[in-house]
Amino acid sequence: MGPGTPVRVEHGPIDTDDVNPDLVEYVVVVTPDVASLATLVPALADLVADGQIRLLDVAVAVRGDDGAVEVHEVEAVEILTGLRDVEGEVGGLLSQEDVATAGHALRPGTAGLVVLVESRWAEPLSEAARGVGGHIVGGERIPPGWVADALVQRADADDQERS
Amino acid sequence: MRRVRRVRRTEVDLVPRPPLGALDAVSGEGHPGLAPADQLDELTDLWRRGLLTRALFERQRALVLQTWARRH
Repeated sequence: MGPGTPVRVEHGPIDTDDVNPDLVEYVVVVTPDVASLATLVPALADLVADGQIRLLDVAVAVRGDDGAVEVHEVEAVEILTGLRDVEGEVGGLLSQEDVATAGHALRPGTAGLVVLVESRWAEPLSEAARGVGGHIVGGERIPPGWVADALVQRADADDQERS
Repeated sequence: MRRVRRVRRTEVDLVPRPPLGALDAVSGEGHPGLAPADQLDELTDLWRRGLLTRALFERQRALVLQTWARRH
């Protein structure tokens, strides 16, 4: 599915009792500029259509060259009109301040989508945990540079063990 | 998408601190940059436990974020 491709249209409120609070997280997807955000829409639509995620809120954060973060609604960004046809909700959960805070992940001069999702793909794990009285307690996306460092360190350690 | 509110609320509710990778993304720094995130985690914990008023939480949080932004 390419940019601008029509996606499933299904409007209607999300049943709040149906949202598994253990699975709600936010994702910040950064692009070099606002115009590039449009390329994210088909992928987001596919994830929703496949039932991988449920969209609970979306907003746009733009970080100026001075470091200040501006928050925009998706309706105000013309190139994001494709999002209107994606099943989900907007505006109900993330506050202005929430989006601005998440926007601190952007480099100055870039733009990003701040997306609050219910990660439906993790439902089986959540159910399994609940079955024994547990639950998914949290998580955090690890900065890629740290992961790369850890992988190099592991490889170095493996080399040392072998030598 | 269905719009739930026409105007977003302004108070911090769900995202009390930037993502862990924020400093890494902005400055390329690694673990030493965790301190502000730790401060915000502590503030959030105090707020959630009812030991800080919302106003005080917001004020302290703004101070941490301003310091963070000034550095980067």
